[in-house]
Amino acid sequence: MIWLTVRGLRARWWRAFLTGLVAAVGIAIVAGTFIVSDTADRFGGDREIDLVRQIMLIAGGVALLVGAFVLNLTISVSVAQRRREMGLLRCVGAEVGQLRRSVLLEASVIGVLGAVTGLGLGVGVALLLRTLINTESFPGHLPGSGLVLAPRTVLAALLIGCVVTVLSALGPAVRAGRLAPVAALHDARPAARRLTVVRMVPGTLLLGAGLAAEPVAVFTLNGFLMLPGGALALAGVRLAGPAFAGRLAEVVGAPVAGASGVPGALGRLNAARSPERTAAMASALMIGLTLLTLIEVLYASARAPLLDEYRRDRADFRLTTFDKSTGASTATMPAGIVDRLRTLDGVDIVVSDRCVPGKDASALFCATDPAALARVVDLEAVAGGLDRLGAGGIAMSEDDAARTGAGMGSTVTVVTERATRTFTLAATYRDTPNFGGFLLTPEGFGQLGGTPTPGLVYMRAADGADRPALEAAVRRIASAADPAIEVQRRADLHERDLRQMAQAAAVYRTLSGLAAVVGLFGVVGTLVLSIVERRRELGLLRAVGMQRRQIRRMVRAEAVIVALVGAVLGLGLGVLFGWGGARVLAHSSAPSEFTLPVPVIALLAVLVAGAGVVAAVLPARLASRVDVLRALAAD
Amino acid sequence: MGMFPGGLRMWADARTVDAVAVTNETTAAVRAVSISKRYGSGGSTVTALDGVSVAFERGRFTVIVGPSGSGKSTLLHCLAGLDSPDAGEIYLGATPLRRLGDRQLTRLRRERIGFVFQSYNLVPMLTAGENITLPLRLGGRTPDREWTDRVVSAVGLTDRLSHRPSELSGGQQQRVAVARALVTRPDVVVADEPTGNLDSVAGTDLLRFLRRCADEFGQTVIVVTHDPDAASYADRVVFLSDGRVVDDLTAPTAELVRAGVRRTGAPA
Repeated sequence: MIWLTVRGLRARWWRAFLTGLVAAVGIAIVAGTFIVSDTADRFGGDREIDLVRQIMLIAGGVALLVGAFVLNLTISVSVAQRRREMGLLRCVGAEVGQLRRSVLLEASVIGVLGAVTGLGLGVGVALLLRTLINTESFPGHLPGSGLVLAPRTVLAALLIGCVVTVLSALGPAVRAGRLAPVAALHDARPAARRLTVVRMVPGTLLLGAGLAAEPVAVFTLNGFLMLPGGALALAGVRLAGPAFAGRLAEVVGAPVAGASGVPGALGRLNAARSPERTAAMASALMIGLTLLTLIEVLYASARAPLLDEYRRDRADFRLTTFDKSTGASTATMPAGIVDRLRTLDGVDIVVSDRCVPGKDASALFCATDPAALARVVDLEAVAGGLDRLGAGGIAMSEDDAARTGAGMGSTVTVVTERATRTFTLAATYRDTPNFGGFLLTPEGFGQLGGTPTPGLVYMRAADGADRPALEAAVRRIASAADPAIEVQRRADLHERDLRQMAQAAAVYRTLSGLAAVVGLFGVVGTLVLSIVERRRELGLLRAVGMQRRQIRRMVRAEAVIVALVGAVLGLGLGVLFGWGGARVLAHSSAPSEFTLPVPVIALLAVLVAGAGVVAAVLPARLASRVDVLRALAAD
Repeated sequence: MGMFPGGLRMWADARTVDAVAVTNETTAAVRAVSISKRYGSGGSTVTALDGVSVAFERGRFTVIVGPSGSGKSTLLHCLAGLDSPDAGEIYLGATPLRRLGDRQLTRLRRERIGFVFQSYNLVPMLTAGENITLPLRLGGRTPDREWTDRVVSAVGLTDRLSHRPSELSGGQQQRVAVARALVTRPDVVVADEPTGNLDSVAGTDLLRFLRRCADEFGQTVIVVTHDPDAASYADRVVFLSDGRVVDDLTAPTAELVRAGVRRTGAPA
């Protein structure tokens, strides 16, 4: 049977190559990561490369998962398409095992092809990764001389390629063996597979379990639960998808069909009539889209508090003393610096604060003039008045008030290392990620045994002030007072954080985008095969007067509808998991506020529809080139 | 049945039973004993075969005719071990087929049965020569050169062996299929409408060749067709209608077959 498999591969080399490419993307990411970490070991790189390696290996794993998914799809379709050939082989005496082994052997050859291509691409990934590592977006540093391709990397790539493709081919191989010999005698069209209980029940259960992991993860604040949850939900959609894909195609296809006449209507019917194929293609796209949406939602959610803080921060300059040994800004500045800054031209207001931690380090108590502070940081007072604190008053964030159950006028007992005092809650405000302490007046702070020497100074320039000149003056005063004082500009402070976040998001977006591209490959491959399968029907349509242009439009409509089904599923799951992720993150050290990036998601939907059009280019061309007479004469 | 209401059926049944009785196991290449086959379930059951008993002697060329839906293809598939009857038994030589497992049935198809179908007979990515030796190679056997050459030259394909099926005419493709069927020296060659996709010249050619197989190689051949002219090349014609054997002619002529076909209601 080996020679037969080889002949089959030679006859279908382009299909094998396309299939191999699907596996190659994941292998390239993994191999590239291996190359980079081996290079780091050889030439010396930072420890921080470990983090990069972890992220990249997860990304590679996801790409391999999508790849396996698409492989399973492609091999399934290929086996279904060759059922007559396989039936014929069974008729003339091929055993079940021989056919199964042939499918698996073909898969492992494809795996090796994919691995070799993946290794080649992996070098590119490694080069790109090194560039990224040596810029700001990734931590770490890697010397720029030479890359190490260890035998281990080659072995791993080959192994991964074979294992992934063979695992993906197991199902199709079993089905190939089950083909009755009489299959050779019937029409080439595979019978529509009925939705068996065998698929539906576990599919629905998996989907249910996957979705249930979401509220559990949010409730228990265990974000890691969402990983298996997501995987289960995706597998569930793959299994149970055919149950709703046809209906979904009809619904999302209605506007598409309405916009493109008879070809559009036929495309919609084509998408709806084989729910199995539509579901398979849509779910191949869905994985990448889910990831992309998830990334966008998390990015928007993590960025929201930063943007909020940026908006509410009205201090043009911020002076801190940075304790280099502890990294905390607890050191104090010379007491006179505030007054000296106030004398500068073009200054609107200068406010300072000084904070001490509570005894159990759970709270931070800051002395300041709350009313003045409110002018440089928009504290958005919720209740009470920040200007009416007095010596015995205290202000806290609304979150802290809610957590402690304190209301206006409640007694608040403050315990620090040096003293215990009671205050009255006089105001609550909306906290920002960097500003959420308990606020006291300098007099109140004095009762706690602290001296309100400035720890942090906020400055705001007057309208129309010469900011560069002001900045230079501020820097002069600061360095004269204490060289350890750091002057930060408002824009620098926030934009650096935002830029770093944007760069990280771009990397994740690229990686998820790769998964989506792999999924797109699956759509192209499946569509091409379905065109080959429908040759006769296409010939008939041409014979009764359909133009080539209309055929192309029909195929395009089908592809767009399938892509939109994938978009509905992917965007839906992505938003759901993004919501869960943001909720979990909100309770972690990274502040986050669930934000739905509506324009980005709309853009994604448009891009997916566009991707459908792109995916349809090759299949549509093939379909429009069907020779009428030959298609009708074919058996 | 027109002229012989009821009578013909009785006569035909008697003859069939007779044939089973007189054809002992050494002379029958393949025989069906009271086989029945139903398709579908519930209200939409279709009876394809209804207690058919028929034996095919060694070295003879038999044609099975009948209208579409008469069960002739099902009978052929059962005889060839492609399909299994719900009741009754098929004997290939002395081997009962119904209780065979898939592995044994596959081996039996590979070594003792040759197939020719109406279409899609050849594996497209293999050359004609490779298609011919396919059953042998699937079984891990090396082709017997002398016999293979003889078969290939008999079908007149010696100079076409390295061609792909797509480079051959329909008639040539069917001859490759016949060569493949013959190459294992099977107990029986079965052909399902082998001339259905051929023009009349190529069709006649193929039937003449099948005739020669029986004459020169002593090959048992069973062909299903609805072409009365095809029947005239055979030693014997079995008429099937509604899943039953309704007539059985030895040394048929086209006229006799046409008459038989008219009686059994088959479209000519």
